[in-house]
Amino acid sequence: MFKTFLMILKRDLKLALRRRSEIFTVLFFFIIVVSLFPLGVGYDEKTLQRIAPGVAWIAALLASMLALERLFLSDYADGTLEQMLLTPQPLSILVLAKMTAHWLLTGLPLVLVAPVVGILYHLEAKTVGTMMFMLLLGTPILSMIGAIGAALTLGLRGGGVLISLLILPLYIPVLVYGSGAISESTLQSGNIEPHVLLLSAFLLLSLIFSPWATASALKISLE
Amino acid sequence: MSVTEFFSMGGYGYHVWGVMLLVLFIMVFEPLNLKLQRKSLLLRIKRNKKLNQRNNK
Amino acid sequence: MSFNWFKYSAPMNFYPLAGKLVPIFWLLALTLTGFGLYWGFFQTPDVLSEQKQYYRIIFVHVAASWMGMWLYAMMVFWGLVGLVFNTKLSFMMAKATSVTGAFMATIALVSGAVWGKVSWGTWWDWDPRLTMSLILLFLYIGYMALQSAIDDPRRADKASAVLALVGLAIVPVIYYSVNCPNPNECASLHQESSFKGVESNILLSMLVTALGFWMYSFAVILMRVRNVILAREINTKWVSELSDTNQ
Repeated sequence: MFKTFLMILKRDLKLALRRRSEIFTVLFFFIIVVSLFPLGVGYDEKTLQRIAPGVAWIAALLASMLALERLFLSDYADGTLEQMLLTPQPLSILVLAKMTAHWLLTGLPLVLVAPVVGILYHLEAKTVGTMMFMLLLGTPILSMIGAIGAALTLGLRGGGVLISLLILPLYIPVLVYGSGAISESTLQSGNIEPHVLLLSAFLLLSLIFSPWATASALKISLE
Repeated sequence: MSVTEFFSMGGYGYHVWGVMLLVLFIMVFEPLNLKLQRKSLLLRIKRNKKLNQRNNK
Repeated sequence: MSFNWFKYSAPMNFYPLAGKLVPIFWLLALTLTGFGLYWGFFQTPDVLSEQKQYYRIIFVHVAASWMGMWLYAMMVFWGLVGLVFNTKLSFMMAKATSVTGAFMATIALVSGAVWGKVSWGTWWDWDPRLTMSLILLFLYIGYMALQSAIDDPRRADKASAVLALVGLAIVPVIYYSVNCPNPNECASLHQESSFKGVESNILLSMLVTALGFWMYSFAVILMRVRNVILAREINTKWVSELSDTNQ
């Protein structure tokens, strides 16, 4: 079972790396959204530092939403998705592999780019460290729950917008605790431990349920 | 409680009656909309029936 | 006569049954809501704790937000029954429930905002309960958007049933994160429900109005499910005969 997981993961990564530009589109989208806010909100350092956590997380949400539609679309178009459904291997493992590939391609780069946000928003090193850690913890949830939306709206017209309509309300806990932890870390007495625990609990919850939900959503979409 | 007092609702007449009006509007609009929908559906069924009869003849 | 449950799970049998039930529910809805509101406006004191006359909005607000939540749970239930038993009728019930649920959530939201405007001075205050009814409305909108985006009814039903199920699974997490965004000082979670110490007359009219809203929802949902049955079974024999008798 684990072999198929790795096989699908390698295949997806190879496929994506052929079109390297696609990874950078998501990354640049994140950076552009993050750098737009100061133009809108003003350059005063105090406000920037206060809004940085929320802005970073909302940009991460939207960036991962962007790449979700293509998660199953290419396989759906050329029929490999049907083959995946027919394999003896449990579909949730294959789906989990695709989610991990999506996370490696969109979630992880956001974590690596977080210091740029730190510079743009005059954040201290400690806050940037917390932001990277929280993004590392939160972005897999975005990929996993987003995959359910992608599976549900497979092959529908207006899929991209539809996914965000369906899935964004479900991202609220990640947004609340993700940005809560970062703003908490800016305080001296800040204790981010409960935020981290809650977010990792949500991560485990989605790790258990979202592959199964995505698999059943795929079966429905491909009937 | 005199009528004017009733409608002024302690100065908050607009608010209270605004909400009540909204509820009334929804409670009237929804069934009305369903009735219209039903009428058009029945019409469509009749037209289908006529169509089928003409085809089978 | 043993009541065969599955007899009424066929749209053909359920359609006339629903037809007979609709007027009954309408009658109950009008009398209960009418009585509840009459009692609420005339038999109750002019002041509830420190809020003045405008507290009467609470009858509608509480009833509508209860209904909004209950109808979402009912929608998920019917979707689940549909997924498990693969009965078309339960999917139709879920689809019919979603629209009324969205209306109820909207009423709860608007009355909540008006209540906020009067007692807190602002139209919108990110009070956890108000935020929750806003999120509930988003979930309804997501459900209906998915329903309308998929043409094939069978896939639309199943996909939205799965979406509603996922929504329901995540709602407690959302509720927790909205009520207690900062776990360090999380006072607002054990918000004592505002029913203790409420004068009995007010409580009575609130409950009666809520019951009235229940009956109203059943009536409207059954009406809509009849329409959905007609729309989906349009090329069946029993529907074409139906149009002659015009039940």
